[in-house]
Amino acid sequence: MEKLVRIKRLTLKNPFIASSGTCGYANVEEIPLHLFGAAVTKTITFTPREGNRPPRLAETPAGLINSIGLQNMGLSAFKTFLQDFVKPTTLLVSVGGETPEEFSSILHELSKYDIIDGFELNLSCPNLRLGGEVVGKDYISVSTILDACVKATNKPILVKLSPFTEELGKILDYWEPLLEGFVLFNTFPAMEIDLKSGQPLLGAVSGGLSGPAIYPIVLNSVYKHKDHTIIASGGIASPQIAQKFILAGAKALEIGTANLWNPEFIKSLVSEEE
Amino acid sequence: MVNKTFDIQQEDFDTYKLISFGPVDEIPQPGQFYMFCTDYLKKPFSVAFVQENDIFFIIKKAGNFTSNIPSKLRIEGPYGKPFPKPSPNSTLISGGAGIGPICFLAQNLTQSHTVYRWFHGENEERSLRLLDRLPANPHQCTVLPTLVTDILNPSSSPYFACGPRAMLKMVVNKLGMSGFVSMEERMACGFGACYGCVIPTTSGYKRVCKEGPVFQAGDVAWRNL
Repeated sequence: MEKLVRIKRLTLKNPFIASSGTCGYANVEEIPLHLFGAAVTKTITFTPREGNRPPRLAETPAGLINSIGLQNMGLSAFKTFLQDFVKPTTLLVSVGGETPEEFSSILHELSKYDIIDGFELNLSCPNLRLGGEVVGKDYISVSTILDACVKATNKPILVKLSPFTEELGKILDYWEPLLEGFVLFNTFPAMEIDLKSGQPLLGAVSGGLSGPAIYPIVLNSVYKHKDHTIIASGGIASPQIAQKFILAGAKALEIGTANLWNPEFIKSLVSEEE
Repeated sequence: MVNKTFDIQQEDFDTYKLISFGPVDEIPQPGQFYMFCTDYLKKPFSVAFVQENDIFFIIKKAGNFTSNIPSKLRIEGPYGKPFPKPSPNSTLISGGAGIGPICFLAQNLTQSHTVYRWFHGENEERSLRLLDRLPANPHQCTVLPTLVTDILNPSSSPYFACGPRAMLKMVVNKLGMSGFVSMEERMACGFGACYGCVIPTTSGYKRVCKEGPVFQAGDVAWRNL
């Protein structure tokens, strides 16, 4: 039995959400996205972004480092894309930017589209920097963006945070009543060195680590903050790990790298629920 | 498309392994690849030939994965855009582990009685032992210090190439842009979801797994590679 999940104003047919960056614009046919409670698009920025210089991927034990750098079609092309898009499940659009104004303009524009059920603010991409600092670094920088965002849309808002966000407790306490929930976490800043060249392997030098390597660290944070509305994200690559996050108090679970490793991974979770 | 666990057959050829699984219902096309998946890792390999619905791959022993391929693997594919059908008198060029997709092209051309010329380059003599096992063979092989590009003659016929990037750049320099190249990049998914396997092209970064792995030589931004 697939369990219906209510996260304030968002209703999902099950707690499993396909993560941003692992299912294209919620249009990757190889992944059975209709089996998910929701799918989050690639992060949309105001103007198209070419993304980071390759190589963009590094293999690690039980994990994956990526430095895609938010390659995306940009707001204008995304609006055109939405015109004949048939969504496979509840559709959440991931939104990114470098200023509060960039976030709020995108939310304002996209709020006109009925097909969109809500937004996930990407305040945590380790590949996106504002004046050398990660966007959403601490309470002030997160709040500046969230202030602008809640005024720009009436649709549900989730915010995806970096594992290294400072003053996390303060952010959760203040913003809990104003948002649908908090996604803990985006990838962990990481890098790899190529032994042949002696140089950093990734074109962008550093990227973000995902996969089961990080799940116990995320589990620790989810459990610690379980009194808030937490959507767990980080290394959910088996039904057992999924179950641990539910037991830790997560209201829903984002599945990311596991979709890349096996596009039919969701089938193991949905049957596990039955 | 398949996404299931197969028994993996392996034959050892010194620097190479010949790997196979099957049978499959859907026969892939030259240039297409499958993902070999372990729990937390997947790697793309281009098809080298097909025999009685079994799919064969030529794999260079290079790292941990290629030296210790498990006897059972989950396989996904075929993925990627294949080579277009070569016209008669096309030139086929391969270097090292790039022999796979070119061999499959040669197998298909041989079966359809289409005339072609195939040139292959290797780092060392012992790597050529594998060739006797293949359903199609290069017409001319080189071993270092001779490069495969040393024996190519500029001509107007289209070419189809796969090999190390340094080789592909030399091919393009010598033969121009009227050809097709199969490109290689590390992949996380293989089906276009992650945008991790991009290469620079004349119209921005393109995914090797989806827009490729076969590209028109003129579309690749060689200077930025």
